[in-house]
Amino acid sequence: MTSVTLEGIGKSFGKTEVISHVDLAIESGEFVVFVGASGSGKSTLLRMIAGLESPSSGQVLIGGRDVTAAPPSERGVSMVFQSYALYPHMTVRQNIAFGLKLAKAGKESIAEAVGRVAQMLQIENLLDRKPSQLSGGQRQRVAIARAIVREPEVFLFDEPLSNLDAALRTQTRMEIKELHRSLGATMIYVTHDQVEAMSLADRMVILHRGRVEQVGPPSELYHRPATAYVAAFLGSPTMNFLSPERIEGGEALLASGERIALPQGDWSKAARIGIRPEDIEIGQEGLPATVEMVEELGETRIVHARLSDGEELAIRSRALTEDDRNSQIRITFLPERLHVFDEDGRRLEER
Amino acid sequence: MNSRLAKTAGLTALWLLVACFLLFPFYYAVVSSLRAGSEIFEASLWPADPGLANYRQVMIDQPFARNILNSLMVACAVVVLSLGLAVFAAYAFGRTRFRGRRLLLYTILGVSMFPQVAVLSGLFEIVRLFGLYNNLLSLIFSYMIFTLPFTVWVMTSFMRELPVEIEEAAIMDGAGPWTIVTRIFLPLLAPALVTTGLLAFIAAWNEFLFALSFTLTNEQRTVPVAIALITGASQFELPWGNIMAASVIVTVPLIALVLVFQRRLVAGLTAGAVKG
Ligand SMILES: Nc1ncnc2c1ncn2[C@@H]1O[C@H](COP(=O)(O)OP(=O)(O)OP(=O)(O)O)[C@@H](O)[C@H]1O
Ligand SMILES: [Mg+2]
Repeated sequence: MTSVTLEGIGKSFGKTEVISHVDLAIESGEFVVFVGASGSGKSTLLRMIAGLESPSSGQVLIGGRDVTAAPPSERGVSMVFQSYALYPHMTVRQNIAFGLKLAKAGKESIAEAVGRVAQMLQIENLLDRKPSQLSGGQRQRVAIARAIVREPEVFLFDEPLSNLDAALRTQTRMEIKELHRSLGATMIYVTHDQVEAMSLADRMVILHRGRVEQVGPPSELYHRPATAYVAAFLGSPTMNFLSPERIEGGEALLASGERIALPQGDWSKAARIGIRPEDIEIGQEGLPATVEMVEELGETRIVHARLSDGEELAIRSRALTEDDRNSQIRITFLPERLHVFDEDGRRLEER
Repeated sequence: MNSRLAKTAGLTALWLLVACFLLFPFYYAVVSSLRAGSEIFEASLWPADPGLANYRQVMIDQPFARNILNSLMVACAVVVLSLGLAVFAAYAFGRTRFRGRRLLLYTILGVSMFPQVAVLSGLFEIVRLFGLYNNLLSLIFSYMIFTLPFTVWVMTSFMRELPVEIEEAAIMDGAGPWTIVTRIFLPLLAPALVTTGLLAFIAAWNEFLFALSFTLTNEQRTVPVAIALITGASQFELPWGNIMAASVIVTVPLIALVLVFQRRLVAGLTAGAVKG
């Protein structure tokens, strides 16, 4: 088991800076997920850990050893690609064995290792097929088998599930988590699917324009986002944001003249107030709002309402139905669930 | 039902017509080569007294076996050299970025557009300069002028279609450049190699102008030139029988090659259409 440390990593392609000064310490055996919008630099960062891309500045340490200049094969890492990248002209068996053969392992130990991972991933009956004769899910398993057969200390996954359908994705997600538990290896996983990220991660790394926006366990990122970007990125529908006119005696004053009670704290710098859809309550008192639309999601409904000053809100609630369109409701925010951000989007802490 | 039958019959007839049109010249060459002496000028579709006299004559009176060997050596050398160079060039063009890549690629394509006569005299000077006149090396060298552009282009476009991730997966598996080229690229490019190799072979095998210009003696000639220069007993006699026999002899290897590589050839022509 091995730790991975990034120290001041930067990467530029020509003049465009894609990653700027990323510091990150990943502990041995940890499952870390990189999330971020498309183009935020997740793959680039992962590829620098793999050694497929060399950083323009900074250092990569694996197991305490500086591997910044080391080729991929000497880093003890293996990678699962988004497109699986199986060798099309080889059978599944040959695909899995390729790395071991290059490492000059003996015939018997190769056969034994291939058999073991094939059993682990339940692909024993596919060993003599070519990749073109496999379904997407089966190819994915083969790609994972190929990655684990050499018993690397660090696994890298670049959106490995994005080509699978929803049901298979959920199932494979659980299997990857199980795999992590049984192997105990360090895993670094890239995805832009926040549900996948939250369900898998010990810690999540949110990337935004090549910078680390926040690092932490999923629940912390969800409940105490450090920036407005993280707050808006996680959760579906996204967090509602209100811009108060000013703060007065522990209350935020909206343009409409309505007041929102804030928790204890110094809110003099408050510029935006965020509240998640599930933290809004529909009741007899509070802010007046008009129901514009109700979305049926099965286990819940999303109510889209408009405040009197024109701001739109999404509310998670089963209380209303599609028949309540255009009706007037009153809503209250749970003060302890409010997120307050300053001008620059930084979280202001309550006291 | 009836109309379907008519359609099938019509299609079959069309096929036969096309086949006849394509095959008749070759058939007539075969037939003529089997005729003896003056019978050659009869227009019948089958010789009255078929015999192999013409073949015997070609092989004995001329150094024709030597000519075939020359052609084989030249064509094979051209194929091996152009494919070898093309794979590495394609790796450079398809996988790496460098200044002037597009310009270079289009220059290579442009070179193939010069008519042969245009480069003939210049090439002749070069051949003389290197002392390669009347030497097969001059042919190998000059044929690459027209085989390299299309082998490089075809291999480059095939190389571009191979996902980079496959190469990267091999790197992660610990493969070096040599292993990647031999264990990953070559097998994946095999259909393209066979197709372009065959085309290069045919081009080199059939080439006439350079072969005529750069060789002097009968021992150094390749087959097309040798056939054109077959002479009869007197200068007033054109030995059609011998020429036809020789033509058949040089066509057979090509047909054999195409048949052998037929499946690969089709795979090569359609490869990339479907993802594997
Ligand atoms: N080889 C390259 N040359 C130039 N720019 C590149 C190169 N590779 C990536 N980039 C740029 O770097 C940025 C980050 O790319 P990256 O692939 O890391 O994003 P990502 O977060 O993985 O996005 P996605 O979710 O779409 O995969 C993008 O703006 C991309 O255009
Ligand atoms: Mg990516």
